[in-house]
Amino acid sequence: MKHRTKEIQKRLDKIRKLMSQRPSPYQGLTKDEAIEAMRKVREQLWEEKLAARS
Amino acid sequence: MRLVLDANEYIFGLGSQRARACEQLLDWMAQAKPTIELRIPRLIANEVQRNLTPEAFREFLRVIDVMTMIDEDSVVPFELGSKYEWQGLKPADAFIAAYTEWVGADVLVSENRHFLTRHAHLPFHVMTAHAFMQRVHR
Repeated sequence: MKHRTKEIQKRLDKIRKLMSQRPSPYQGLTKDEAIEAMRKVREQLWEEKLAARS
Repeated sequence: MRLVLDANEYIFGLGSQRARACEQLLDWMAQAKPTIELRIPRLIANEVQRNLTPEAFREFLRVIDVMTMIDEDSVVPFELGSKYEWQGLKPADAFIAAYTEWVGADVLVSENRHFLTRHAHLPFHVMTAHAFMQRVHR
């Protein structure tokens, strides 16, 4: 359990470190605007998945 | 307790523009007891992928591997998604609601107001990361 927690936390910290070196695609947007942008990506991904299935 | 975390929780918890509550939620999940079960569909993993670098996403997959496994989207019955579309959700949001119901999750943690404003009609709780963390620390 302790080992698992440590491993996950180490990887979460690594992801944050890697991402902090990158500019955010949501820079300058409010939280609501960023969520709306994420929802657009979600809808686009979903449409692509449906198109691939049919 | 079974949980589904929406993509925005992972993105705000790990991405280059972070929100404290979402970070705390993921850190809490890392330390969570085995009674907390995390579920994630492929669609959410794909959304996270769009927001992380390839190296960061590889690390994310390792985290998911330790905590749970990714469910393929196709396992969720189509009719369940349609039910949520009828309730006014967009197709992809409807799928997330259907998935959350299908896995029998107790809580969907999301910052998406479209879920948060409809929670009265859902068979699971919808909470922001902030509200969820307040609940678990009570």
